[in-house]
Amino acid sequence: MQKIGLLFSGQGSEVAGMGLDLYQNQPTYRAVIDQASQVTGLDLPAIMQTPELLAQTQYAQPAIVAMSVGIAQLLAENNVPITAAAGLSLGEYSALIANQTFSMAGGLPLVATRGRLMQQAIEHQAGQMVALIDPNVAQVQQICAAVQAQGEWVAIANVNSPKQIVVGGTPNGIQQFTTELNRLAPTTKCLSLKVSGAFHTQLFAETAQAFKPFIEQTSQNQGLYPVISNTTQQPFELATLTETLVQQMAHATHFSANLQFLAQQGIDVLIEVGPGKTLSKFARQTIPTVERFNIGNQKQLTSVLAALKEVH
Amino acid sequence: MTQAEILNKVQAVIAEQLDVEIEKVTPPTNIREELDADSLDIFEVMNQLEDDLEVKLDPDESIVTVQNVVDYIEQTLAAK
Repeated sequence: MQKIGLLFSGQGSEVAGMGLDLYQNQPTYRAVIDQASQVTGLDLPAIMQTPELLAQTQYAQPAIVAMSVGIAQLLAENNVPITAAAGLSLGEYSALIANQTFSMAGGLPLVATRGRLMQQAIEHQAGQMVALIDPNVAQVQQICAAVQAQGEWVAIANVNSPKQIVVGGTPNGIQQFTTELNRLAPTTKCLSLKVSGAFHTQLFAETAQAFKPFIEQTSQNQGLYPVISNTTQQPFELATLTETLVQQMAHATHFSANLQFLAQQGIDVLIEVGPGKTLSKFARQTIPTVERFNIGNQKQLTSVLAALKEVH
Repeated sequence: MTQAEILNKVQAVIAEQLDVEIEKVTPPTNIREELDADSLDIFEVMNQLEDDLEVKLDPDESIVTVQNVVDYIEQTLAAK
Protein backbone atom coordinates (compact mmCIF):
# COMPACT_ATOMS: atom_id res chain seq x y z
CA MET A 1 0.00 0.00 0.00
CA GLN A 2 1.40 3.33 -1.03
CA LYS A 3 1.42 6.28 1.32
CA ILE A 4 0.25 9.35 -0.52
CA GLY A 5 1.07 12.93 0.45
CA LEU A 6 -0.41 16.11 -1.00
CA LEU A 7 1.51 19.29 -1.83
CA PHE A 8 -0.50 22.53 -2.07
CA SER A 9 0.76 25.19 -4.49
CA GLY A 10 1.76 28.62 -3.25
CA GLN A 11 1.30 32.06 -4.76
CA GLY A 12 3.18 32.65 -8.01
CA SER A 13 1.73 29.54 -9.63
CA GLU A 14 -1.49 31.27 -10.71
CA VAL A 15 -2.22 31.56 -14.41
CA ALA A 16 -5.31 32.87 -16.21
CA GLY A 17 -7.66 30.08 -17.21
CA MET A 18 -6.57 27.87 -14.35
CA GLY A 19 -9.02 25.13 -13.44
CA LEU A 20 -11.48 26.11 -16.16
CA ASP A 21 -11.80 22.60 -17.61
CA LEU A 22 -12.31 21.15 -14.14
CA TYR A 23 -14.98 23.77 -13.46
CA GLN A 24 -16.78 22.75 -16.64
CA ASN A 25 -16.43 18.97 -16.22
CA GLN A 26 -16.43 18.20 -12.51
CA PRO A 27 -19.53 19.01 -10.45
CA THR A 28 -17.69 18.46 -7.15
CA TYR A 29 -14.94 20.88 -8.14
CA ARG A 30 -17.49 23.41 -9.37
CA ALA A 31 -19.38 23.16 -6.08
CA VAL A 32 -16.19 23.98 -4.14
CA ILE A 33 -15.41 27.02 -6.31
CA ASP A 34 -18.98 28.27 -6.12
CA GLN A 35 -19.09 27.85 -2.37
CA ALA A 36 -15.74 29.66 -2.08
CA SER A 37 -17.14 32.51 -4.18
CA GLN A 38 -20.21 32.70 -2.00
CA VAL A 39 -18.38 32.79 1.35
CA THR A 40 -15.81 35.35 0.18
CA GLY A 41 -18.17 37.52 -1.85
CA LEU A 42 -15.77 37.23 -4.80
CA ASP A 43 -16.51 36.04 -8.33
CA LEU A 44 -13.75 33.42 -8.35
CA PRO A 45 -14.51 31.89 -11.79
CA ALA A 46 -14.13 35.38 -13.29
CA ILE A 47 -10.98 36.12 -11.27
CA MET A 48 -9.41 32.84 -12.41
CA GLN A 49 -9.81 33.87 -16.05
CA THR A 50 -8.69 37.48 -15.77
CA PRO A 51 -4.93 38.16 -15.73
CA GLU A 52 -5.33 41.70 -14.31
CA LEU A 53 -7.26 40.38 -11.31
CA LEU A 54 -5.07 37.32 -10.74
CA ALA A 55 -2.04 39.62 -10.69
CA GLN A 56 -3.36 41.13 -7.45
CA THR A 57 -2.42 39.34 -4.24
CA GLN A 58 -5.87 39.98 -2.74
CA TYR A 59 -7.55 37.99 -5.53
CA ALA A 60 -4.80 35.48 -6.32
CA GLN A 61 -4.77 34.09 -2.78
CA PRO A 62 -8.43 33.00 -2.50
CA ALA A 63 -8.38 31.83 -6.14
CA ILE A 64 -5.40 29.50 -5.65
CA VAL A 65 -6.74 28.13 -2.37
CA ALA A 66 -10.20 27.48 -3.82
CA MET A 67 -8.72 25.67 -6.81
CA SER A 68 -6.40 23.52 -4.69
CA VAL A 69 -9.16 22.59 -2.24
CA GLY A 70 -11.42 21.74 -5.18
CA ILE A 71 -8.84 19.32 -6.61
CA ALA A 72 -8.22 17.76 -3.18
CA GLN A 73 -11.99 17.25 -2.98
CA LEU A 74 -11.90 15.42 -6.33
CA LEU A 75 -9.22 13.08 -4.95
CA ALA A 76 -11.37 12.46 -1.88
CA GLU A 77 -14.35 11.75 -4.12
CA ASN A 78 -12.22 9.12 -5.90
CA ASN A 79 -11.25 7.54 -2.55
CA VAL A 80 -7.58 8.45 -2.79
CA PRO A 81 -6.30 7.99 0.79
CA ILE A 82 -4.13 10.86 2.05
CA THR A 83 -1.53 10.23 4.74
CA ALA A 84 -0.15 13.76 5.18
CA ALA A 85 0.28 17.07 3.40
CA ALA A 86 2.36 20.21 3.15
CA GLY A 87 1.82 23.49 1.33
CA LEU A 88 4.07 26.38 0.50
CA SER A 89 3.09 29.55 2.34
CA LEU A 90 -0.44 30.28 1.08
CA GLY A 91 -0.66 26.57 0.24
CA GLU A 92 -0.71 25.80 3.97
CA TYR A 93 -4.18 27.36 4.11
CA SER A 94 -5.32 25.16 1.23
CA ALA A 95 -3.97 22.15 3.12
CA LEU A 96 -5.63 23.19 6.39
CA ILE A 97 -8.99 23.62 4.64
CA ALA A 98 -8.61 20.36 2.68
CA ASN A 99 -7.87 18.44 5.90
CA GLN A 100 -10.83 20.22 7.59
CA THR A 101 -8.85 22.08 10.25
CA PHE A 102 -10.70 25.09 8.84
CA SER A 103 -14.12 24.82 7.23
CA MET A 104 -14.71 26.33 3.80
CA ALA A 105 -16.98 28.93 5.40
CA GLY A 106 -14.28 29.88 7.92
CA GLY A 107 -11.08 29.29 5.95
CA LEU A 108 -11.85 30.96 2.62
CA PRO A 109 -12.81 34.36 4.12
CA LEU A 110 -9.68 34.08 6.30
CA VAL A 111 -7.55 33.63 3.17
CA ALA A 112 -9.31 36.56 1.50
CA THR A 113 -8.50 38.70 4.55
CA ARG A 114 -4.88 37.53 4.49
CA GLY A 115 -4.63 38.47 0.82
CA ARG A 116 -6.15 41.89 1.49
CA LEU A 117 -3.85 42.64 4.44
CA MET A 118 -0.76 41.53 2.49
CA GLN A 119 -1.81 43.65 -0.49
CA GLN A 120 -2.12 46.69 1.82
CA ALA A 121 1.29 45.90 3.31
CA ILE A 122 3.08 45.85 -0.04
CA GLU A 123 1.36 49.06 -1.11
CA HIS A 124 2.59 50.62 2.14
CA GLN A 125 6.16 49.29 2.12
CA ALA A 126 7.94 48.07 -0.98
CA GLY A 127 10.02 44.92 -0.82
CA GLN A 128 11.86 42.71 -3.25
CA MET A 129 12.87 39.09 -3.46
CA VAL A 130 15.63 37.29 -5.33
CA ALA A 131 15.96 33.57 -5.97
CA LEU A 132 19.43 32.05 -5.67
CA ILE A 133 20.33 28.88 -7.54
CA ASP A 134 22.68 26.47 -5.78
CA PRO A 135 23.91 28.99 -3.21
CA ASN A 136 26.26 28.61 -0.26
CA VAL A 137 23.70 29.09 2.53
CA ALA A 138 26.23 30.03 5.22
CA GLN A 139 27.67 32.69 2.95
CA VAL A 140 24.18 34.03 2.14
CA GLN A 141 23.45 34.31 5.87
CA GLN A 142 26.70 36.19 6.43
CA ILE A 143 25.89 38.67 3.67
CA CYS A 144 22.39 39.18 5.08
CA ALA A 145 23.86 39.88 8.51
CA ALA A 146 26.34 42.37 7.03
CA VAL A 147 23.57 44.23 5.18
CA GLN A 148 21.39 44.24 8.32
CA ALA A 149 24.29 45.76 10.25
CA GLN A 150 24.16 48.69 7.84
CA GLY A 151 20.53 49.34 8.71
CA GLU A 152 18.71 47.70 5.78
CA TRP A 153 16.57 44.60 6.15
CA VAL A 154 17.33 41.48 4.14
CA ALA A 155 16.95 37.82 5.13
CA ILE A 156 16.42 34.31 3.82
CA ALA A 157 12.68 34.01 3.16
CA ASN A 158 12.25 30.59 1.53
CA VAL A 159 14.39 27.47 1.74
CA ASN A 160 12.72 25.66 -1.13
CA SER A 161 15.15 22.88 -1.99
CA PRO A 162 18.87 22.16 -1.70
CA LYS A 163 19.18 23.96 -5.05
CA GLN A 164 17.02 27.01 -4.43
CA ILE A 165 16.59 29.61 -1.72
CA VAL A 166 14.90 33.00 -1.87
CA VAL A 167 16.09 36.13 -0.09
CA GLY A 168 13.75 39.04 0.64
CA GLY A 169 14.19 42.55 1.93
CA THR A 170 13.88 46.27 1.35
CA PRO A 171 14.80 47.42 -2.19
CA ASN A 172 18.04 48.97 -0.89
CA GLY A 173 18.79 45.90 1.18
CA ILE A 174 18.32 43.60 -1.79
CA GLN A 175 20.52 45.82 -3.93
CA GLN A 176 23.31 45.74 -1.36
CA PHE A 177 22.85 42.01 -0.99
CA THR A 178 23.13 41.22 -4.70
CA THR A 179 26.14 43.52 -5.10
CA GLU A 180 27.92 41.74 -2.27
CA LEU A 181 26.88 38.30 -3.50
CA ASN A 182 28.20 39.05 -7.00
CA ARG A 183 31.49 40.11 -5.46
CA LEU A 184 31.92 37.12 -3.13
CA ALA A 185 30.23 34.41 -5.20
CA PRO A 186 30.18 35.48 -8.85
CA THR A 187 29.07 32.04 -10.04
CA THR A 188 25.88 31.95 -7.94
CA LYS A 189 22.93 32.68 -10.18
CA CYS A 190 20.56 35.27 -8.79
CA LEU A 191 17.17 36.12 -10.30
CA SER A 192 14.81 38.93 -9.25
CA LEU A 193 11.30 37.63 -8.66
CA LYS A 194 8.31 39.52 -10.00
CA VAL A 195 6.83 40.28 -6.60
CA SER A 196 6.28 43.63 -4.92
CA GLY A 197 6.74 42.52 -1.31
CA ALA A 198 9.36 40.74 0.76
CA PHE A 199 7.11 37.93 1.94
CA HIS A 200 8.19 35.83 4.92
CA THR A 201 10.52 38.47 6.31
CA GLN A 202 10.26 40.88 9.23
CA LEU A 203 8.81 43.45 6.82
CA PHE A 204 5.54 41.56 7.38
CA ALA A 205 5.74 41.46 11.20
CA GLU A 206 3.10 44.18 11.70
CA THR A 207 0.78 42.66 9.13
CA ALA A 208 1.12 39.29 10.85
CA GLN A 209 -0.01 40.83 14.15
CA ALA A 210 -2.89 42.59 12.41
CA PHE A 211 -3.94 39.23 10.94
CA LYS A 212 -3.82 37.40 14.27
CA PRO A 213 -7.33 38.27 15.54
CA PHE A 214 -8.83 37.02 12.29
CA ILE A 215 -7.21 33.60 12.75
CA GLU A 216 -8.31 33.53 16.39
CA GLN A 217 -11.91 34.22 15.38
CA THR A 218 -11.95 31.40 12.83
CA SER A 219 -13.09 28.07 14.24
CA GLN A 220 -10.38 25.38 14.23
CA ASN A 221 -10.78 21.62 14.38
CA GLN A 222 -8.54 18.57 14.58
CA GLY A 223 -7.50 17.86 10.97
CA LEU A 224 -8.12 14.57 9.15
CA TYR A 225 -4.39 14.13 8.45
CA PRO A 226 -1.25 15.98 9.53
CA VAL A 227 -0.08 19.08 7.67
CA ILE A 228 3.61 19.84 8.09
CA SER A 229 4.33 23.50 8.90
CA ASN A 230 6.73 25.63 6.86
CA THR A 231 7.59 27.50 10.05
CA THR A 232 8.01 24.91 12.83
CA GLN A 233 8.93 22.12 10.36
CA GLN A 234 6.68 19.84 12.43
CA PRO A 235 2.98 18.96 12.01
CA PHE A 236 0.58 21.80 12.84
CA GLU A 237 -0.98 21.36 16.27
CA LEU A 238 -4.38 22.67 17.19
CA ALA A 239 -3.17 24.27 20.42
CA THR A 240 -0.57 26.42 18.64
CA LEU A 241 -2.23 26.79 15.23
CA THR A 242 -2.92 30.53 15.47
CA GLU A 243 0.55 31.38 16.71
CA THR A 244 2.23 29.23 14.03
CA LEU A 245 0.21 30.87 11.24
CA VAL A 246 1.00 34.35 12.62
CA GLN A 247 4.69 33.46 12.69
CA GLN A 248 4.51 32.04 9.18
CA MET A 249 3.78 35.41 7.59
CA ALA A 250 6.97 37.07 8.84
CA HIS A 251 9.38 34.13 9.06
CA ALA A 252 11.22 31.97 6.56
CA THR A 253 9.47 28.97 5.03
CA HIS A 254 11.33 25.65 5.12
CA PHE A 255 9.59 23.66 2.43
CA SER A 256 12.66 21.56 1.75
CA ALA A 257 12.60 20.36 5.37
CA ASN A 258 8.86 19.62 5.04
CA LEU A 259 9.58 17.35 2.08
CA GLN A 260 12.26 15.52 4.03
CA PHE A 261 9.83 15.10 6.92
CA LEU A 262 7.21 13.59 4.59
CA ALA A 263 9.77 11.19 3.11
CA GLN A 264 10.86 10.15 6.61
CA GLN A 265 7.23 9.38 7.44
CA GLY A 266 7.25 6.84 4.63
CA ILE A 267 5.36 8.90 2.04
CA ASP A 268 6.26 7.39 -1.35
CA VAL A 269 3.90 9.28 -3.67
CA LEU A 270 3.43 13.05 -3.72
CA ILE A 271 0.63 14.76 -5.62
CA GLU A 272 0.85 18.51 -6.11
CA VAL A 273 -2.62 20.06 -6.33
CA GLY A 274 -3.13 23.56 -7.67
CA PRO A 275 -2.15 25.62 -10.67
CA GLY A 276 1.59 24.94 -10.70
CA LYS A 277 4.22 22.25 -10.64
CA THR A 278 6.88 24.18 -8.74
CA LEU A 279 6.51 22.08 -5.60
CA SER A 280 6.99 18.89 -7.61
CA LYS A 281 10.28 20.35 -8.80
CA PHE A 282 11.35 21.10 -5.23
CA ALA A 283 10.42 17.50 -4.37
CA ARG A 284 12.59 16.17 -7.18
CA GLN A 285 15.49 18.32 -5.98
CA THR A 286 15.02 17.39 -2.31
CA ILE A 287 13.73 13.78 -2.22
CA PRO A 288 14.31 12.41 -5.75
CA THR A 289 13.23 8.83 -5.00
CA VAL A 290 9.65 9.79 -4.09
CA GLU A 291 7.23 9.49 -7.01
CA ARG A 292 5.67 12.80 -8.10
CA PHE A 293 2.48 13.87 -9.84
CA ASN A 294 0.76 17.19 -10.29
CA ILE A 295 -2.90 17.95 -10.93
CA GLY A 296 -3.99 21.30 -12.30
CA ASN A 297 -6.39 20.28 -15.06
CA GLN A 298 -8.76 17.53 -16.21
CA LYS A 299 -6.15 15.66 -18.27
CA GLN A 300 -3.73 15.48 -15.35
CA LEU A 301 -6.52 14.39 -13.00
CA THR A 302 -7.48 11.53 -15.32
CA SER A 303 -3.92 10.32 -15.80
CA VAL A 304 -3.03 10.53 -12.10
CA LEU A 305 -6.16 8.62 -11.05
CA ALA A 306 -5.34 5.94 -13.68
CA ALA A 307 -1.73 5.71 -12.47
CA LEU A 308 -2.83 5.35 -8.84
CA LYS A 309 -5.32 2.59 -9.72
CA GLU A 310 -2.64 0.60 -11.51
CA VAL A 311 -0.57 0.53 -8.36
CA HIS A 312 -3.34 -0.35 -5.90
CA MET B 1 32.19 19.29 -28.64
CA THR B 2 30.14 18.82 -31.78
CA GLN B 3 26.67 20.32 -32.21
CA ALA B 4 25.19 16.85 -31.82
CA GLU B 5 27.00 16.27 -28.53
CA ILE B 6 25.87 19.63 -27.20
CA LEU B 7 22.30 18.90 -28.28
CA ASN B 8 22.34 15.54 -26.48
CA LYS B 9 23.59 17.19 -23.31
CA VAL B 10 21.07 20.04 -23.50
CA GLN B 11 18.19 17.62 -24.12
CA ALA B 12 19.20 15.47 -21.15
CA VAL B 13 19.54 18.42 -18.78
CA ILE B 14 16.25 20.04 -19.85
CA ALA B 15 14.38 16.73 -19.54
CA GLU B 16 15.77 16.20 -16.06
CA GLN B 17 15.36 19.75 -14.76
CA LEU B 18 11.87 20.26 -16.14
CA ASP B 19 10.66 16.75 -15.40
CA VAL B 20 9.59 16.07 -19.00
CA GLU B 21 10.18 13.13 -21.30
CA ILE B 22 13.31 13.54 -23.40
CA GLU B 23 11.32 12.85 -26.60
CA LYS B 24 9.49 16.13 -25.99
CA VAL B 25 12.76 18.08 -26.03
CA THR B 26 13.52 18.62 -29.72
CA PRO B 27 15.55 21.45 -31.34
CA PRO B 28 12.50 23.57 -32.32
CA THR B 29 10.76 23.08 -28.94
CA ASN B 30 9.82 26.38 -27.28
CA ILE B 31 11.12 25.92 -23.74
CA ARG B 32 8.81 28.35 -21.94
CA GLU B 33 5.61 27.70 -23.83
CA GLU B 34 5.79 24.04 -24.78
CA LEU B 35 7.64 22.76 -21.71
CA ASP B 36 5.89 25.09 -19.28
CA ALA B 37 9.15 26.51 -17.91
CA ASP B 38 9.45 29.79 -16.04
CA SER B 39 12.50 32.05 -15.72
CA LEU B 40 13.69 30.17 -12.66
CA ASP B 41 13.47 26.84 -14.48
CA ILE B 42 15.61 28.22 -17.29
CA PHE B 43 18.11 29.53 -14.73
CA GLU B 44 18.35 26.05 -13.23
CA VAL B 45 18.86 24.47 -16.63
CA MET B 46 21.68 26.93 -17.35
CA ASN B 47 23.20 26.35 -13.93
CA GLN B 48 23.30 22.60 -14.52
CA LEU B 49 24.78 23.07 -18.01
CA GLU B 50 27.43 25.37 -16.55
CA ASP B 51 28.44 22.69 -14.07
CA ASP B 52 28.41 19.89 -16.61
CA LEU B 53 30.19 21.74 -19.42
CA GLU B 54 32.47 23.89 -17.22
CA VAL B 55 31.49 27.08 -18.97
CA LYS B 56 29.96 30.36 -17.78
CA LEU B 57 26.54 31.00 -19.30
CA ASP B 58 24.68 34.32 -19.09
CA PRO B 59 21.81 33.93 -21.52
CA ASP B 60 19.41 36.76 -22.29
CA GLU B 61 15.78 36.76 -23.32
CA SER B 62 16.67 35.72 -26.90
CA ILE B 63 16.80 32.09 -25.75
CA VAL B 64 13.46 30.63 -26.79
CA THR B 65 14.00 27.18 -28.29
CA VAL B 66 16.21 24.21 -27.46
CA GLN B 67 18.22 25.00 -30.60
CA ASN B 68 18.83 28.54 -29.27
CA VAL B 69 20.43 27.01 -26.17
CA VAL B 70 22.62 24.73 -28.29
CA ASP B 71 23.74 27.62 -30.53
CA TYR B 72 24.42 29.83 -27.55
CA ILE B 73 26.57 27.15 -25.87
CA GLU B 74 28.43 26.47 -29.11
CA GLN B 75 29.28 30.16 -29.47
CA THR B 76 30.29 30.44 -25.82
CA LEU B 77 32.55 27.38 -26.03
CA ALA B 78 34.13 28.73 -29.26
CA ALA B 79 34.88 32.06 -27.56
CA LYS B 80 36.41 30.40 -24.50
